[in-house]
Amino acid sequence: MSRREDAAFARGDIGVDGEVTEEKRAAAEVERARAREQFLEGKTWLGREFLTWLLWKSESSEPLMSFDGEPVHVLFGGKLTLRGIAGEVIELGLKGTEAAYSQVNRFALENGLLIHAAKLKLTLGEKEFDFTLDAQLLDIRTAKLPDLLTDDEDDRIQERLFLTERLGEVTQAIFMTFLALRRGPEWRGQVLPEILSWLKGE
Amino acid sequence: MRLVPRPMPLLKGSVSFARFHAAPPATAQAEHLLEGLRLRAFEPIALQGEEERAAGFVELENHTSTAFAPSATFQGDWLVCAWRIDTIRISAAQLNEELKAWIQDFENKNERAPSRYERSEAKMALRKELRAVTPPTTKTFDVAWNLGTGALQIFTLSRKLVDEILVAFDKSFDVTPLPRSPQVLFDEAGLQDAHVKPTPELCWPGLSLV
Repeated sequence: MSRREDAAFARGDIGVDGEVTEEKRAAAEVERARAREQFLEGKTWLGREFLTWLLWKSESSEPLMSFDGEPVHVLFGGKLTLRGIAGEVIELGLKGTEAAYSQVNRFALENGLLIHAAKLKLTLGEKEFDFTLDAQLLDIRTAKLPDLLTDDEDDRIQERLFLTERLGEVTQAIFMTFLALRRGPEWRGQVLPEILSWLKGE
Repeated sequence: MRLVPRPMPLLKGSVSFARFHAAPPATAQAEHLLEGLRLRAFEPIALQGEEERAAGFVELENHTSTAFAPSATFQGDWLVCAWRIDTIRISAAQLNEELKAWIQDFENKNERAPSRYERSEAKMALRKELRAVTPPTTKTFDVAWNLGTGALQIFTLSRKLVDEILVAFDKSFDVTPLPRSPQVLFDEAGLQDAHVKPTPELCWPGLSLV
């Protein structure tokens, strides 16, 4: 046995025949079953496909869409979490300013991991929002709102209310744009092949 | 009362929130809405009671007030408030210290160790004493409801807390908020599971989920 095999044997990962032990196989299967359950629950898979599609779209300098007459741009920030339902890796965290657009990320996406949560920079006209979006419930986490225009205390609350609601509305509008695309023939006919080529670096 | 400093997401700083849609009842008047809040208003934990947790609605900017004056509760189109939770936590370590001291005292007086029953009774009594002198810890979570658009924002991402606030909301206003999650948006778009399924090429190349 090689040193690696010796170590795996000592851990109980493999038996004397060099094959994966039943115990290890069972634990990995349980893990994958749980990952699959999470993936299907509440259509989390749809949220993950959405974030993955959004990453692909964000590579273009064109506005993603228009919302109330204002252009919407999205860029992925320095942190994202990927999750999968099969294979040896079911969760992967990436950090770094360029992490989302890296070859490492594309390799992971090409191998069945999808984006589960990501730090985003959303620009609506001249307003900029930084926040983290998760695939399961589309909850908005640690959103940094644009600078307020007003100094008046009472008006500040209303302005912040307006901005938080706006962020939610735009996020939902982007998701609905994706959903409209996803349900139609364009998904398999055009979009998916382009995403797969992009993942391969073509 | 010791108060944990509140992050006050609606007033400043970064915000984390769960999103819902809750159309206000067609006949809802301001006073009716305020009454709804008062129905589930926060009530402090009784000092001499048994409860160790209390929860309810309070005003957004004054979390000791449950008067819900219109000027404190309506901000333009929004109804704003906070969900306050007070808890009394008896430190296990402190309780054990007190119990140890009691056991020592008992042994000195009675020249024998206390029985299991006597220890249990003493522990309950000590717990009650500690409870009476332990100030509650307060946490608050902002809630904002746009009565025009129906957008409801709950400024916490703890599912347990969100569910608790939603139940209170339902009972206060007789509305059932719907999350803006992929599942619900999918259903609202009239889509069927049979028509839109996970994309095998993305989920796991080579694996079919159909």
